[in-house]
Amino acid sequence: MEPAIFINTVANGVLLGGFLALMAWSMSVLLGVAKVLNLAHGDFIVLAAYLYFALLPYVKNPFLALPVATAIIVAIGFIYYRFSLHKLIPRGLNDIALFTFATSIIIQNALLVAFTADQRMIRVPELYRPVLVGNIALGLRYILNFAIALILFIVLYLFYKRTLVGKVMRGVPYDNIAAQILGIDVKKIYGYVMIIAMLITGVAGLFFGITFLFNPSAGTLYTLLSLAVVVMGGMGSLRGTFIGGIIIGIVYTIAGLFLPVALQFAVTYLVTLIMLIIRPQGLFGEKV
Amino acid sequence: MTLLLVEKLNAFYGDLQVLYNISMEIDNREVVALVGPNGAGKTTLCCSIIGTVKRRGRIVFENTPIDHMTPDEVIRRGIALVPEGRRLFGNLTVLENLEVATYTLPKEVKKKINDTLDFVFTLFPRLKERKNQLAKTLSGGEGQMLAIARALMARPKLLLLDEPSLGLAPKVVQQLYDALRELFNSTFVKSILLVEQYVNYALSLAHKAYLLVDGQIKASCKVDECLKSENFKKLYLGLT
Repeated sequence: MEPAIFINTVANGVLLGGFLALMAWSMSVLLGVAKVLNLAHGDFIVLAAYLYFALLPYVKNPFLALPVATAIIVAIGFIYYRFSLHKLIPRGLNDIALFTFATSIIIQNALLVAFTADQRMIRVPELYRPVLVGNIALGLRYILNFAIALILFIVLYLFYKRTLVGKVMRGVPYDNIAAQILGIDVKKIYGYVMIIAMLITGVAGLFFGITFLFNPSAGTLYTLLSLAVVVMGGMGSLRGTFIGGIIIGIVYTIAGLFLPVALQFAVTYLVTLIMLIIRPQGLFGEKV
Repeated sequence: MTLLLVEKLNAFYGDLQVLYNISMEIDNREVVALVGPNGAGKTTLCCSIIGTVKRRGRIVFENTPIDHMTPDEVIRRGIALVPEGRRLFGNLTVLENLEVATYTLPKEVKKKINDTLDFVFTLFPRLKERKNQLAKTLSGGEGQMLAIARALMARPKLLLLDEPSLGLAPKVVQQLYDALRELFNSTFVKSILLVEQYVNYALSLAHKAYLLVDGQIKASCKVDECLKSENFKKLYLGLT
């Protein structure tokens, strides 16, 4: 094989990885701080994408809909947390997984009723052209995704490292009883984390809708891919999610070079499974 | 003057009752030892004062009932707990552990954070040397210092210390008790409730002791009388 093809594939894999990290971050944050495995994760992103789609007639540029759509998805997410998830957290992962899985089906069905099963996209034609770097061709929208992922990483990193509430959010999952003894209202902290996760979902939904076609059941795939990214990088680790995304992205594109398209996802998940066996805490996860 | 008054306190884990009709008193400027065998309910008593377990009964702090309050309200009133087994945030640095402890505090206390930090770093100079180190890399003694320093961030009037000597070498325990004596003499805290399995350490610092067995206060005495009291010895040594 020509080295140019290989370099091209890896470069595109890295950029795809940025997109995957962008998709996975809200799952990673929720899992890391509140130990909530959100199996409706992808569906919240697709729901956000549909919000942009619904707002499209009212705004010339979908980027202008960002504040409104994000505010709506944060409100939905927070109400969802406050009236259901809130009560399930003390009961543990099994109940949460079952509950969020049911939520996933409900969101998909609701979207089906509201928007039919047609494929949709948030079209921004200026972004659908390749950029040539030397003799490597990169999709402009993937470069944008990667840049947004990088910005989000820096923002989240500074938030966790520099702000008091960010430090509390790192401490709580390590020992939530210690936090309660210090008078920290852990459930309130989980509520804040839900808000942060939904803010990220609002951003992720926009770039997802710009990058790919979607329909009401598209969320399941992104729940699974995000899970793969989070398992690879380590639960709740910020840089783990970023690097996990890049690894999954590269594995996916390289698999596409040698294998039929039908097997591309199978290989990606196989790599994740191997990771789960040899290093269950992921690349940057804390050993439990 | 009474700082903390506990009357007919009962505490539960779910349906399981752990404490029965506890009554005790902690005066202003007093170190009170709470001794008793494993599983007697010493930790539960600390947790029910701070409000992290279900309790029924009367707890009055500075003439205000606090038995219906949540932990953050109790802490804002001026009681802080150093939990059993330290429970540090191992993934945070020493300084971050201290900062996190200020999260729920009232504004007046938050304003004095720098003074408080100065005080705890003077009391435990080792923590200052290690302030940017992850808490999980500290030795046992340093970890206990950090646990105490973290509780002091609230500038409590009453400090509850749950088994500070747990898992420490005798020499380190001695140093720790020297620091505790210095802490009490500095009047940074008014009073201390000291839970301890090693009666000798506890009595070296305390003015008064309560003996807790099977969830009930079985004896109480002034410290100089404790060691003479046949009743106290008999009960603590389990020779009933």
